[in-house]
Amino acid sequence: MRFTQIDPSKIDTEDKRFQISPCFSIDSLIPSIRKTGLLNPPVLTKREGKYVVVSGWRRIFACIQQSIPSIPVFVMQETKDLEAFNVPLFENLTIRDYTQIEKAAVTGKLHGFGESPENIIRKYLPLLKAPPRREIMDVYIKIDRLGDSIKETAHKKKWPFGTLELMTEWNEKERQVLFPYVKELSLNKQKELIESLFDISRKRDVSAQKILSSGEFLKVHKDVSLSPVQKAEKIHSLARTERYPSLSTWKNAFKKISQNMDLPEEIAVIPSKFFEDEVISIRLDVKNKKDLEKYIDKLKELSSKKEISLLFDPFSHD
Amino acid sequence: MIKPHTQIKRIFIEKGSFKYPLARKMLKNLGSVPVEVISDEEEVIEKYNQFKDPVGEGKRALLLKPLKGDFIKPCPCTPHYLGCNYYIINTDLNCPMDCSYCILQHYLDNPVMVSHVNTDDLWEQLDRFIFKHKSRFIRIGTGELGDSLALDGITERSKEFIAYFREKTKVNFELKTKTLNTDNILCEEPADNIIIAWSLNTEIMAEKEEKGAPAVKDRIEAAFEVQSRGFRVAFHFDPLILYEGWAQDYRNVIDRLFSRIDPSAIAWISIGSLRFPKPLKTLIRKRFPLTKIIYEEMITGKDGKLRYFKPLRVKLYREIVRAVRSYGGKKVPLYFCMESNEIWREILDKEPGSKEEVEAFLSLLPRFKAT
Repeated sequence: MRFTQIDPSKIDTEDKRFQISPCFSIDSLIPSIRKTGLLNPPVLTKREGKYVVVSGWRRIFACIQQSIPSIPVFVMQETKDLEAFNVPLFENLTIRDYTQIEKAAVTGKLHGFGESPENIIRKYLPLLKAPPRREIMDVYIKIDRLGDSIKETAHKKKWPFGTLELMTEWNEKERQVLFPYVKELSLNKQKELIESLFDISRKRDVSAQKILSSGEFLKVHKDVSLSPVQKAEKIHSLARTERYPSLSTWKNAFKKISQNMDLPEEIAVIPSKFFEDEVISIRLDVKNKKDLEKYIDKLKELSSKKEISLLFDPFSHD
Repeated sequence: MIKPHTQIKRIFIEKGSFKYPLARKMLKNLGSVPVEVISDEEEVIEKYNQFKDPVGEGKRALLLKPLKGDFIKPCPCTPHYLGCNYYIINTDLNCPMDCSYCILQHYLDNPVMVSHVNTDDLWEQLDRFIFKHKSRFIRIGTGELGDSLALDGITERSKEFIAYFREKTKVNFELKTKTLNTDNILCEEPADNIIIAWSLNTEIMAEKEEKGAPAVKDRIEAAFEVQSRGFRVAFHFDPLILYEGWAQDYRNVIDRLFSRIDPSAIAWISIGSLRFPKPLKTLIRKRFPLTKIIYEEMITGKDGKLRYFKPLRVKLYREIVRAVRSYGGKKVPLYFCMESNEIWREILDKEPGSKEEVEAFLSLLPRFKAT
């Protein structure tokens, strides 16, 4: 490895063969570069007469943005991509955990550079804290082939493996239809939406496009009064209702019964999760003893109402 | 129908295992199948993890090794639901059949079939176990982590088990299977505490979801033969699966069952609905892309596993129990596998309260004589 100074604008930053993160921010690096300059030299190597980045993407972009004319770099003599790739791979491993997208990039690149599946499974997957199994390697390679916008969002929001795995099981067109909604949701809802639509699609043998372009889904899609987040939330809710029709019916029935009981704000009745238990919870919010006495009386009054027995036995409606 | 002799393409044997008579017998019965000596089970696991479908590949391989720990364990059941105090004997693990819903795909670390060949240790452990529990009834069987009879043609374990348990009158020993491999059993003298059980489903589910398993009508015929030989039989409607037309299909199977089997020879019928840990859903989706069973309305149960929404389970169980009771099984002991007290009460009008009470009921102790 040779140490030298070069003009950062001469580096071919379009060649991303060794890049692991799909995107990064240089904002936090700028003040440090301004104050002390570049202390930790990036690593480059030459390919077809051009300098390409092996590691240190953020540092190089920060220096280019600051128009620094010359920066210290290490230049690797290694001509094999697979060998060179070990530098950023191990360098990053020592300082942080990879996101699933980065793990996918590592797996995809190792595969592309000709590393044997056996070595990827046995040697690299454990390093990435992933189970050393063929199926895991295959999924990572598929994740690495997802579109850039999905990968960027998934990287920034740290999507879990399961969500990404499901994304790979949709075709490209379906992903394009889904993604605008998915990206607006919280992590849990993202997974729920993808999973619900996937299950509906498989059960009925229809595509995601067809589901999203019919009935209530279409109405939401066309509703110009809704913001992207509101649309995504509504689509999520519709998908859950279609995926779990009986549960949704029961939830609504329970809600209706409790609403009919005309409860004060301070008292809430809550069913067990998924109605799996017979027990219901009654939550009472009180500020002081006087409140407590008041609402205990209210609870006694409620217990004499006929609706209360419906809450305790919601399945009697069936 | 599964013929392990032809399905097993590779045998692994752990170094030092040739000394066990069962290993030698199995190798002889398997004829010319290539044998590879290994020093550790991990070698096999690592090798099979390299396959795209380790579970599928594992069904064509058999590992012979001694079990270093306990053969007998309490059935793991599932947290927060009612168990039945069953004990399992882990002689053969995994199974050559390939049922889409099978928990073993996820539960076992090693995807290949394993036969624990140190049978002397097994008998010694069983002696100790039975002595320790001599004051109570025990229900025990081999069909939890593998099919009890799938490999019986090469292991002939059923003969030895029947001979061993025949005298242990306070133990109900169950062999649980989907196969028709009853040749060895039919050669043995029956005993009241030896129960041969079949897992049943609807014909369409067996055809679609139980790859390599015989038709349900054939299983019932096998049960008829075994019962005619004088053995008690049992049936497991587990997992019950919801799909369009399920009710009529289950009624048809139950009708056929009672048209062939004498209800008084049925030790018990268990009922359970489809349930599995969440990670298994992904595995099923990948291994069985055509299956629809994982897309029904399943929620996360109290044990964290996916199971049908309770009102759907109630409907399913009610139909099965009604069919069993009306087609001839009026007095047949029924029990739920991994269900709640509420379900027991609602469907069977019983509330055992504890797994010990379920066990007592199934062992026909006086306080819970079947009515």
